Amino acid sequence: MEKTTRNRGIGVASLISLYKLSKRVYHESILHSQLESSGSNIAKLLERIGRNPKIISSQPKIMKFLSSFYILFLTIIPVRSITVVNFIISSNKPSHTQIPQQWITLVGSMMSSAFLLLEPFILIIFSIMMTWGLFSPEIYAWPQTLPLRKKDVEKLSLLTFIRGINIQLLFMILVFPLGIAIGILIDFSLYSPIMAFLLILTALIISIVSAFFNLGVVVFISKKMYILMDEKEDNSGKSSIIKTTISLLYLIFSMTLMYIIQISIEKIPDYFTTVLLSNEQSLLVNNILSFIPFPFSGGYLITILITNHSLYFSPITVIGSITGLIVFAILTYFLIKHSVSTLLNTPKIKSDSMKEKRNKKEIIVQLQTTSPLKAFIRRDLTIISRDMQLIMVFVMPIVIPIFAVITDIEDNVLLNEVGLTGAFLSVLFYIALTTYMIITGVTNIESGGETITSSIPIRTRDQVKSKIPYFFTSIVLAFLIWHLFFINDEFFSKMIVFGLVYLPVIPLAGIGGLFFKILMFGKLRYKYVVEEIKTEHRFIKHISSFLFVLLSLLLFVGLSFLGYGALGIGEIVYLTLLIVVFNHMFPK
Amino acid sequence: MVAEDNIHHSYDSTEGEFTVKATNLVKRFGDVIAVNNLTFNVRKGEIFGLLGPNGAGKTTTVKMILGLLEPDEGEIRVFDLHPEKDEIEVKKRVGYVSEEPLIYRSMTARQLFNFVASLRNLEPEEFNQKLQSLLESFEALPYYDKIIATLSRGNKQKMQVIASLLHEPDLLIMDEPLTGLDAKSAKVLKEILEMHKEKGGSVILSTHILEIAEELCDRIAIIDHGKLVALGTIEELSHLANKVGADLEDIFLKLINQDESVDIIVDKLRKSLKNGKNNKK
Repeated sequence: MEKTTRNRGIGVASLISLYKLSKRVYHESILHSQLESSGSNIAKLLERIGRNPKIISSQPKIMKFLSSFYILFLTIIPVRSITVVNFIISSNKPSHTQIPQQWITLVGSMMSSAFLLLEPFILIIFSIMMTWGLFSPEIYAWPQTLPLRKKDVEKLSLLTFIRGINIQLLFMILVFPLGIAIGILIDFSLYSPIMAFLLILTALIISIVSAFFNLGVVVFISKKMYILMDEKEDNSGKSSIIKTTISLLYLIFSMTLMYIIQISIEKIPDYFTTVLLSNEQSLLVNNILSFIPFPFSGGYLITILITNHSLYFSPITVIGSITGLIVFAILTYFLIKHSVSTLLNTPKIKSDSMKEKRNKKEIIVQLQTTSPLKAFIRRDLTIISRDMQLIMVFVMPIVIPIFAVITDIEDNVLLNEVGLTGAFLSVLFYIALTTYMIITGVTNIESGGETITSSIPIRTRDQVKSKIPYFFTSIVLAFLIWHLFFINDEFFSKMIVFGLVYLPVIPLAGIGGLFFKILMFGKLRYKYVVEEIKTEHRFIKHISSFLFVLLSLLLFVGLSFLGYGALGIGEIVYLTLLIVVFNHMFPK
Repeated sequence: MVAEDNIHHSYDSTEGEFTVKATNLVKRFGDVIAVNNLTFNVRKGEIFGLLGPNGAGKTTTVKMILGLLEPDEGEIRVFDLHPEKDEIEVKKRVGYVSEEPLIYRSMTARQLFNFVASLRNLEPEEFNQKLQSLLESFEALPYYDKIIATLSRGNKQKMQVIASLLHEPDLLIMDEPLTGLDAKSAKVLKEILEMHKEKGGSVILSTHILEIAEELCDRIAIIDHGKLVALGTIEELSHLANKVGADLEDIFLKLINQDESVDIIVDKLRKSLKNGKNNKK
């Protein structure tokens, strides 16, 4: 057997041919995780894949592009690190030494360390959702049927994981030396060719070690994530809560981190002039931090080289940074060794063994019926609680306006009434966007169970009624929370009164948008359906439905110029219209 | 491509009590004519087979019967009702199994059956026993509290079949219902269909597996490229195809004019396999 396969050149597959094969396994895993996470959108996903199979690989490609772009964006940090450090040194004349030398070292090292610290976070944010699925033994079921040796299948799992983050790894290795090289080019007169070469070489060594370290970290977290998320067999409420909490934390963590990255890049030069510690205190801090392998040792070593003898460094700091870097390399070696072993073992794990351990409970068949409206509400809540995409749909309305207002505050655009009006309009845009996300989210639930609903005597009226409460939840809350950011503002009392009078518009526009979307997608000869049946010109229909929501919101802003009374009357008229349309479209 | 002159005569009639009457149905998707002037009737107490190659228009026809798709031309009556206008009344009396079990993946089977029973307004006291018995018959009881997403294709299919049978419908519309089922469950389902027929119910069985159609169906409509090629009992179809005594496979291939092309393919395959063997030597 071995001889036969050897002759065919498959049995002793070289690493390159295994890497080529890993593309198939990778796509299989992507499809697997896309189906797992599609929840209520599964019908649409399968339909889309049927039309265009390339969409299986387009999502990871987008994520790869985004993370590579962000890693590339981080190049700003080492570039600024060099230019700002050199600028501060050159302008920090001995006659008026406003900024202590050790403080410059400390902040400069912090900048480089921040870069090294942010890289794995970016990798985690953009890659983890694509990599945890690679720990599923199911995706290696197919390669195991091929004439491959067990060892090759094990190697395949390692190579598939590397394929999952190949572009990011390449960027992580190249971006740091590239940033340093750009910084040197800007201040080229300060560095001799040997010094420049040494600096770039050191940056390359640091970034290679860091890239492998980051790979190990992502393997470790992906594995943990897989263990947590793969408890799908368990139907307990606890399991659902754990999964939901993890995903929410992931979302909040990602958004917060992206915000921190953005702010830290903008604010970095300020830290040089904001002296918090004396020279002696900074020296002590430098000596301690330089010994910490990740992320500081690399940061200190590169800063020492950047300053090019212009600053005094204690020998302890120099020794600390070199020792720390060596320790970092050793730690990375063990981490990678562990990661490789974890990955090689992936195809061996049998998920069935977990299932067998579970106790068999006596199952009592007992139908519990309720009214159709309540049945729809219960079904929707069950599906939403177990569908990450849908949970996000309800969380996003709260998160997005908050981030919008924080950015506005940072940019100081809210200082006057004009700035506030602009911020209000931008938050209305976000509200329209998230309202439309809710509309598509709750209507997509229907197509997820097409087989069942298509044969059941369903009244669309009940279906639509069951969707209405969602427009009174997170978007309304988000709108109110947004106002609280201005509690100390002189315009707050005005804003809150206007906000409360305007508040009913938010759910009304959402309900109107829901009816409009059904009109666009679900108009049959004798009735309307919630499902998207009329799918021709889909893009235009989605855009017009979104614009309907946005224009509804803006219409009331226009009405408010005529006074609160006009706004209130407008709301009553709109509500009356909605009731008329509801009864017409969805008769009893 | 089936030429116009290849359409055979059918043995359909307008006599007797009908559950479904489809007359001159036409359904287009853009430039593609999925169903082209299709006429057939389904009698009360019969298993009616819709047979055709992949893409013949079987599923589109089934969806029109259910009122899920509007015919562009022609008319459908189910229990003498209009499936679109009288959708609720029709669906109360119909059970449907689709080719692809699109059932709510995030729900457990228990939640799914509660949902179905609520919308069908079933009395729990009356239907608990029936549900229990169906779950046991299909050996699906261990999966009652499992999330549907975690079930195998076969077990999802079982849940779909049970959901379609629970309310004791008069008409069962089954689109490839045996897909994914193990031998035992497939046998159980076949028996259920026979019992349903004996009680006076009707079944529309859409399939491309000829053995199943031959075993179960009283009459078969053969559809190709959206057109009705032939309709009748196996015996009647064999007469239409001039293949008396042949099995349904031969009759079917003859009626859709694929018998010769299959011979050519098999011949080519035989030659290429023989060549491959010689090269290896």
